[in-house]
Amino acid sequence: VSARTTLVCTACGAELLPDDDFCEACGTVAARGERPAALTCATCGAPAADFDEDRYCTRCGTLQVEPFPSDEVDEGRAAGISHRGRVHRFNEDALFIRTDDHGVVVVVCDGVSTSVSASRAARAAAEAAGGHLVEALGDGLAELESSAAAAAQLAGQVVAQLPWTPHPELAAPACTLVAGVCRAGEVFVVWVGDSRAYWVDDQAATLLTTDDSWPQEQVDAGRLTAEEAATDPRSHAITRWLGVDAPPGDPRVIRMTPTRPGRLVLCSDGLWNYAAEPEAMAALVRAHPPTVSPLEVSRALVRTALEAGGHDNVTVAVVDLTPGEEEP
Amino acid sequence: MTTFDAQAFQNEYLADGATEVNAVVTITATDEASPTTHAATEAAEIVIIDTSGSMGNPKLKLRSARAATNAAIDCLRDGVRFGIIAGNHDASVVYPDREGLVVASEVTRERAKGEVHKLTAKGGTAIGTWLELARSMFATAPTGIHHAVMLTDGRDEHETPEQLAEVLAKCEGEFQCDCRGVGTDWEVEELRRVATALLGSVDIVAEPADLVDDFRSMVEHAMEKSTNDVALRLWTPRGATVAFVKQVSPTIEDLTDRGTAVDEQTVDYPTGAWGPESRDYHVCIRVPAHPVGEEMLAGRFRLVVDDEVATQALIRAVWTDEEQLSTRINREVAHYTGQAEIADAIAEGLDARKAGDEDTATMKLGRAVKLASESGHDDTVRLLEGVVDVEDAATGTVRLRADVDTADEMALDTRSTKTVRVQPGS
Repeated sequence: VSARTTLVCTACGAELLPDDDFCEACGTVAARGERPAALTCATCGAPAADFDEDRYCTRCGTLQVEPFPSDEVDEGRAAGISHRGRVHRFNEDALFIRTDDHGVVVVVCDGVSTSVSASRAARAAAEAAGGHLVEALGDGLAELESSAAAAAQLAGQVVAQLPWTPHPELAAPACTLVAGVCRAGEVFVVWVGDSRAYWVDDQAATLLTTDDSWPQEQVDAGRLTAEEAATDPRSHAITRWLGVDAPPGDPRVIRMTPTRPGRLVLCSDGLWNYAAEPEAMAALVRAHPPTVSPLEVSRALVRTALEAGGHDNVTVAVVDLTPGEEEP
Repeated sequence: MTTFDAQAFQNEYLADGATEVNAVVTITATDEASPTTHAATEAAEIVIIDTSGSMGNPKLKLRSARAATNAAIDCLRDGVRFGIIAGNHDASVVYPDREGLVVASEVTRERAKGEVHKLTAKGGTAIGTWLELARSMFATAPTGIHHAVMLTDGRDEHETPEQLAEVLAKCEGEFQCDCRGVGTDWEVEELRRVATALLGSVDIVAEPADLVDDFRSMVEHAMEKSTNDVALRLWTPRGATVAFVKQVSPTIEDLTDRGTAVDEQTVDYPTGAWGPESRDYHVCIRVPAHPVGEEMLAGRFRLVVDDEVATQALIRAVWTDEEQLSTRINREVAHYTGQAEIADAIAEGLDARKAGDEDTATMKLGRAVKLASESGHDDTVRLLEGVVDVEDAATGTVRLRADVDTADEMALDTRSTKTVRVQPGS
């Protein structure tokens, strides 16, 4: 870790070391970068304002590994965390969460690691789709389904227009997207790529999305079993993404009407790799009684991924939904 | 409008403690050009022709020079400002018959050729004086792309090297100049100094009859240029030093000492005018070592046109303890490192030969033969064979030839900096 900041555990206030993934005192996941003001370059002490758009210090050139806030967002009934993980040097996932009187918008994007400026792509897509859906929350339910699709398309355009420097081994900026918009007891989920949405209540455990991925296509076509596909080297290849070189086609949208209280979970593959089956994800979520806040559930889910290896960036968003709660 | 595209080739992985970062950056300029954009490009062209006494001996020299100048004039498109200078121990304007430059048209081209026809050979050689006259003529057209072609057949005998250096310093950045030596009585080193300062090429035209084609191609090439004063802007981190910046394709041109500081960490190197073309640059930067696992930006390579960044490439350094990463050889860097080594061996070999140090000359030229034949530089091997008899190319065993044709030696000297590109997929 190159960026130096005074880090304090958000749960107990104990000081954290830059490399701590967990608070040594209370075990809370270290949500790093919550205080970006104190960031300086660890090599030369330059302030964060001197970091360029590619995250290099403009004075000494050192790459800033964690200069940007790893997001921990708490909006009460909706919360989430985006974490670098234990292996990757950057967090190329992005998270957007917003609640208002009309409802909730959550977006998770996962920058494609074989593309240039993946983190910028993910952040731009999450912001664009999130902003569009927040606007749409004020519209009627009838429009929300098309707004969900439009949000993903807009995010795709934004990513396609990002300036980027060509790289001999990497493709144009690209990312996945999964977004959920919840209003008046209805849930719309739109997705492109292999970031997922799960619904978990006390009875049901449902994977709402179908991965746009090579293994999913193999399983759908009956060519391979899920187990066979998962062990293939192509098991992480996605077939749809956002970006200038994205395959054509409309994003998929599904609508769900919860019948009893539960939690909507959006996540990047950094989490679901360790709990892919709906029942496995549900077990992790149900380990916490309904009184536990979405933020606490998010922290626990990220921690599970980190304990299992944290091989990828981990991003999760959790929304508590109770039928009939929101006013139409 | 010209658009530029930059691509960096490097092995960014460094072993623990390593401090040298090498990268080859390929710049490709594409012209969305139509003849109309070219016609809209403001340009000025001056042909400087040696009319010293020796040009009349044999008469073919001056006759060919006149024909070549006419060919150059015919290549000027309408609207380009131009002029013709005759140089001996003094310099005089052959055309136009008034102050400054004249706009090319059917009429002015014919008039210019009429004046060129009258040129006669007498007097000495003062290259600096010629260039100074060209500079003052270009100054009457302050904007646009300024290009000159200069032909000489002899040494700069009427000036001291200091006088020439003084003029070159004044001309730098004012115009570009391609230099040609006809025959074998001129000094390669001297013309190279002019060409290097004025971002031009230098070559020998041993046979006067070949001048026409050469002039035509130089002026045609100049007419293709559409973007002027392009700077290579290199940012490096504090504590880093630029070991070298070289253009390595199409020819090797060391730019290291040609930089102008923009700020503490940024230096602009001149690259002159660009048409639709592609050039490669080899940059070597020494940086302070970082701990294993850290990455730094060793250089930000930008191309700047009118103070706007046209394209950029990042030169990175990542420290690793994985040997398989840090020992990886980057093909482009290795290729041009090899080419530079060949050029250096030739230059050192020829210097030693001139100084009478036959052992060093044999060793260096032998090494050049070995490297050039290993890497498939057949043209270079052929040029070397004009100076040495090759016994065994594989081991670089050669004998200096006793009967070296001066023109062959000069061709080897001027052309040893021409490079070939990395073969795709090789």
